[in-house]
Amino acid sequence: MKARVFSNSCLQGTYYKLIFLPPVRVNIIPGQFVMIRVCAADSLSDPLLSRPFSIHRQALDGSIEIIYKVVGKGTDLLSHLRKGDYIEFLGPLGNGFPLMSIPPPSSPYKGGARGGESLFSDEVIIVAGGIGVAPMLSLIEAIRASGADNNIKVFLGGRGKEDLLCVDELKKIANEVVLTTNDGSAGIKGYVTDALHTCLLNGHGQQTRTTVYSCGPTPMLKKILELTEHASINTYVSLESVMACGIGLCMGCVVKKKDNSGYFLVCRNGPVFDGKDIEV
Amino acid sequence: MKTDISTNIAGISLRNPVMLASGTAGYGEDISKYCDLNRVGAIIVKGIALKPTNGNPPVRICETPSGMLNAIGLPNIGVDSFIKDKVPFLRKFDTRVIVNIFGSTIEDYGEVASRFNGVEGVDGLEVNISCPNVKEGGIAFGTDLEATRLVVRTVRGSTTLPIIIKLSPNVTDIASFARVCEEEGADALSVINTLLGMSIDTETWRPRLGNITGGLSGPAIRPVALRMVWQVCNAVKIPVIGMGGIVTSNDAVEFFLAGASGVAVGTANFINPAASLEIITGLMAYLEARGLNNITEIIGKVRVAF
Ligand SMILES: Cc1cc2nc3c(=O)[nH]c(=O)nc-3n(C[C@H](O)[C@H](O)[C@H](O)COP(=O)(O)OP(=O)(O)OC[C@H]3O[C@@H](n4cnc5c(N)ncnc54)[C@H](O)[C@@H]3O)c2cc1C
Ligand SMILES: Cc1cc2nc3c(=O)[nH]c(=O)nc-3n(C[C@H](O)[C@H](O)[C@H](O)COP(=O)(O)O)c2cc1C
Ligand code: FES
Repeated sequence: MKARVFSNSCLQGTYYKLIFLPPVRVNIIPGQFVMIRVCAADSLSDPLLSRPFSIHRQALDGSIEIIYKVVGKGTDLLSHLRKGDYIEFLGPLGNGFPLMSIPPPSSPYKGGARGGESLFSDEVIIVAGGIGVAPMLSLIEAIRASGADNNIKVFLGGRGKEDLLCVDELKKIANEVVLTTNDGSAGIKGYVTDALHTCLLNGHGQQTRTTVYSCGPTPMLKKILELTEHASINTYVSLESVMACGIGLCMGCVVKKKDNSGYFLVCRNGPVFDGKDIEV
Repeated sequence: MKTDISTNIAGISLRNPVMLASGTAGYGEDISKYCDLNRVGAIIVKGIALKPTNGNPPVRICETPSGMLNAIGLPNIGVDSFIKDKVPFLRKFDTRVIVNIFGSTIEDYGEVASRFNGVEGVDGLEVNISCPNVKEGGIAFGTDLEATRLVVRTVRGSTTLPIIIKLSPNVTDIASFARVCEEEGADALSVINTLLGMSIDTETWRPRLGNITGGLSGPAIRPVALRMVWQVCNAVKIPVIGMGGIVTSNDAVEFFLAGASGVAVGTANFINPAASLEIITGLMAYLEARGLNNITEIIGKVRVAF
């Protein structure tokens, strides 16, 4: 689908926000993603493939927001788009975050988005690393919109201060926001997973029914799953993977199944997975 | 007179000569949400073997200039569940279904092929002897003339369906492989599979693919594919399905001019799952604009004498 760019602006450092208007309104579940191709010219073949991005938010008029970090050719081209330009996009794709702590009895990976359940946990812990914060704001908004007043605690980590995005917005809707940076330029110095560890050691997730939602670099997710598995806390992670198609055609975007029976496709079976099902 | 792009390849009559290439359209389900399968000439499904396989560990793909490398490693659900669970879905569409098969031994190829005898909804077999990403099978057969001969002979003896042999471009003289296939009774040839390639991350000094090497596809390989299609068409009489980097209808026209009777669209499906439909529309427009009534009027019509 072709979509018109509504705005594209630098948030801070190498982070940008793109807002585009799809030709038809689409329904979105937090955690779903879109594939975007910059169509500067129809014959453009380098970069060839579309790029996956989490949906950051959907505005009331149906426009879709993504936030992205410029890391290579595709995101660099994206950062040069201006209002009125067009992009090619596919989406929303994949399964979003389930808004609950108890997984449904049937296998959750049969396709179709899994959100919309009303069984909330008492406490929600959100862990985001860098650009991994992208889907989290709309996740919290969805939890709040459902009328639940869970305690929502956010851990947001980055290399430095400039890698911490959406801090003010998060502070407005979460009960508590803990910031960490590796260089100590903001919040607690260290890894976001260290802060989570301390929190869990202090008894969080013991008495209450807790759900952890996380998104960020793979090593971070790996560490989180170690911590929460140890504490027996339900954890959902949004995975990244190299993707060629985003719609289940190439079979390139795999993550290992925990039971060693093969692989899931991140685009079709994820990108959000129950930590118990996968080996990152 | 209405422009006619219907065609017949290997005894399979096709609404139009544009097919979906194996491994880039799965077993049809996912792509059918974006691409009306009733409108494509045929779908060539992802490779099927006797037993289910998981494929290679990640990283399985990486982008390269105007192309991509893949080392998917032929994950497949096995012939039995394919026939039971996937063929009924494919039968719902008014299109041709060509099943891509592979094996790790010559006997495997024969066995898989024979399982499709009498299966309603399967119109032909494409025999993959050219996958660069699996240790046994695939390319080992497609880069050795005698092994190629034995695979084709075995499959020929095991099936009543039309057989299309998918050739490897990773050989010095592709024409000699084409001739062997023709001699052994192949009905058509698919040219080409991916080209063996490699990419290294200069930050980490690691290969970008888990499998170290992978198969190159996309616009980057189009000139190589076109050259090979042309060489093969000059070497044999059986029809050739051309593929490799086709994104637009103009790309497809190049392959027809070189001698291909049909084309398959692969990597372009990843960028635009409806690419094949746009190519079909563009092909009609190309012929109409030149007052040509039939696709045969451009097949093999490259003007080589200057
Ligand atoms: C489901 C999903 C959701 C995503 N959501 C977002 C999002 O909301 N915002 C966002 O900015 N990104 C997101 N990503 C990552 C994003 O797709 C990549 O950053 C993008 O594809 C890079 O494209 P490029 O052409 O700029 O870089 P490339 O030229 O492809 O790569 C340039 C270099 O950057 C490295 N690289 C690639 N991806 C990353 C990365 N994520 N972080 C650091 N280095 C990287 C590559 O290894 C390479 O060395 C998501 C990925 C997935 C799978
Ligand atoms: C991700 C991927 C998977 C593929 N899987 C198969 C396969 O299972 N069997 C096969 O014969 N060819 C397979 N191919 C090769 C394609 O069918 C085609 O021959 C090749 O990609 C060249 O065409 P293209 O440049 O249009 O993609 C695969 C290609 C890609 C990119
Ligand atoms: S990105 Fe192609 S199958 Fe997931």
